[in-house]
Amino acid sequence: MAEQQDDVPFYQKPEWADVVPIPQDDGPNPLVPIAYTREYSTTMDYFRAMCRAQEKSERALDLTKIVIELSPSHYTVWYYRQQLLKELNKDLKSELEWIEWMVNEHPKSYQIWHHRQVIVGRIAQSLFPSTTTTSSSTLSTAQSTEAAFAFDDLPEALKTTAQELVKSELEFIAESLKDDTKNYHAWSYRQWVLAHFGQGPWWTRELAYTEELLEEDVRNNSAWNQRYFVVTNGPGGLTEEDVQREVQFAKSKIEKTPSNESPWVYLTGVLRKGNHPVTEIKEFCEGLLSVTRANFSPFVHATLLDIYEIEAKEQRSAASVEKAKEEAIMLAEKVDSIRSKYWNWRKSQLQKIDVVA
Amino acid sequence: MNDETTVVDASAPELLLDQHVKYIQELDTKKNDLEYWLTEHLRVNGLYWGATALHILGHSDALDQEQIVEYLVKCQHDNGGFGGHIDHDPHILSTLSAVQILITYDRLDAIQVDKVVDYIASLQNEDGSFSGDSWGETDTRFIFCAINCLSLLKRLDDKRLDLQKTIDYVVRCRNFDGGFGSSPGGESHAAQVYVCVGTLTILGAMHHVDADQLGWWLSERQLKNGGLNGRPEKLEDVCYSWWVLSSLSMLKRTHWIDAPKLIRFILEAQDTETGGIADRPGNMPDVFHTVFGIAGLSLLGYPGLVAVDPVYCMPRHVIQRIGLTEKH
Repeated sequence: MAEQQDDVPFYQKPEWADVVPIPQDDGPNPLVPIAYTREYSTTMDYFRAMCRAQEKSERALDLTKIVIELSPSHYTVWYYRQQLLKELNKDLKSELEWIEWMVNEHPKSYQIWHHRQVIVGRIAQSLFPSTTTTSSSTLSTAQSTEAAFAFDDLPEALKTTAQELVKSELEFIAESLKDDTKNYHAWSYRQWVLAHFGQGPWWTRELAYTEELLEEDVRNNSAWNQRYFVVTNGPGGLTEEDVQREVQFAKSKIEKTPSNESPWVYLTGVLRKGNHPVTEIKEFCEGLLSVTRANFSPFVHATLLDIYEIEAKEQRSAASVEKAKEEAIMLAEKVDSIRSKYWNWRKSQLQKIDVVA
Repeated sequence: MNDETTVVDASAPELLLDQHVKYIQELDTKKNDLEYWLTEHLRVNGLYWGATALHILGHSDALDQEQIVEYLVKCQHDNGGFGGHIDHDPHILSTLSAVQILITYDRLDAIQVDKVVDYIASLQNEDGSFSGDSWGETDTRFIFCAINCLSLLKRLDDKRLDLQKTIDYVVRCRNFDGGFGSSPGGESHAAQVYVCVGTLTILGAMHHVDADQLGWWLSERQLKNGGLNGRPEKLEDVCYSWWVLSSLSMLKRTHWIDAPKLIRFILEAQDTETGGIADRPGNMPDVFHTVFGIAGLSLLGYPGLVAVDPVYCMPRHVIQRIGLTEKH
């Protein structure tokens, strides 16, 4: 544990002598008796006393750290800590260091990640003029793709500060992601950081970051999702040039791992967002059929099924219906039989298409 | 009760019903060291998981109802919200759990319903989302908790709410793969899909969902071993038997999952020594995976279980008793 100076529990120290600890009330017949170690139990008794009195002091702040380190998901203590940090006007930079340590210990704690967001949000608020009507009501640190600051409108000095802050947060998150590249909390917070400070240069760098991650693990669905987030929310949004580049990118990854769900879904997603018909990739898909391992990919056949189905409807072509049927049968019987009910349903839908032979 | 069906593979293990009942009754620290159950801030949630599982198993009397009600009353704060345990700050997660338990036991009379509504209404944000508590954390899970709870209390018509904004916000969380995340742009995840689809179902806004596309994404969660994962290329986990299945049920597409294979997977995750169900075969059981495994089995039509409502994750007869229109 950080900062444990000696082995004497805090509650045995003189500065705590005046506090009357409040024991746990489990009711007359405790339903789910929870075994406490004595230290934990006593610590919580003292915490309850502080909390009830809403004492705002250094020792209260110290106690919140002790409680958190014992029980990080105990959400009540986090709010109390935030209030204390504010009241006592504490240095938030050192708070960030402690949070980094805690995130390492408990990477999947909602509370720790949210605490980081609150602290960084506060740091930002103190540094930059806000563009949004962020009310003083504390209720919303809402996850949002809306920026709280108009980066472009900031004076140069503040632009630099913003970039530094964003950079250090992104580095912090990247470090955490090294241990678990799909940590949902980390990615969620990462999106907030990117969006919160407006349309700065970090968006372009983020695209390169997703590429690095996909080099390491092309099946990382979180990285694919992040890539979509970047190209659609970054400066300029999704341009035609972006669409072409992303289509090539996805195709190159598909060629390496044709049975990988993510690049397929990404590819069709980008095409749709860019108002391109999915039939555009027909040749690409048909080309994959002659590659044996690709031929066993459910996604090659599923995409061709979609394409032939669209063609059948648009051209009222019986030949296309037949080709689509073959794909559905291939999927139901050979390549993806666990989902045979779904593929057979798709096949049944094909019968309904109006054709002129 | 579910009818006799042919969904169970002859080679699948049997449901250790009595052992699960005993497991839940005996949930105390001497026998188990389960993070979810033992962590005091989750006590109310844990009670909901345990009570719901017992109801689905047909043993609604297995816990002392009076004790539970007395305990929950102590968890309600002046502002109407319920904490996760006595002396814990109110939170929307535990508020929903408390209300679900009380309605299941038909003891809503024991608490201040108006105040619960006040509390939830106070948590709605400008953009239509809901925060988990006055601390401000937002997540689509909290939207579902709010809407679910208000729906159970028949108070969705409260004038302080802007439900259209809530719908708009949830729609912003819809992704290019048809799924939903915890916030706009957040990766699609089966649990987030459940809470978003649940919200839209309750609010009558399912036309915003591409049922075929999402149904396919959900069916893709099934792996060769029969289990379900929550996102592409992640491991199977019994709790997804609920998140994925209930979503498919709301989309009227449960048949897109191979039921016998999934049933076998859930049953293999049972602990034959202690009872209870784990996240996957061979691991330690806990009450969270126990309830969602059992609820999943019920949705799949496993014989001998009480029918569960896919939207509320409560016994179907309870939802019918309180007069909520069947939305699925």
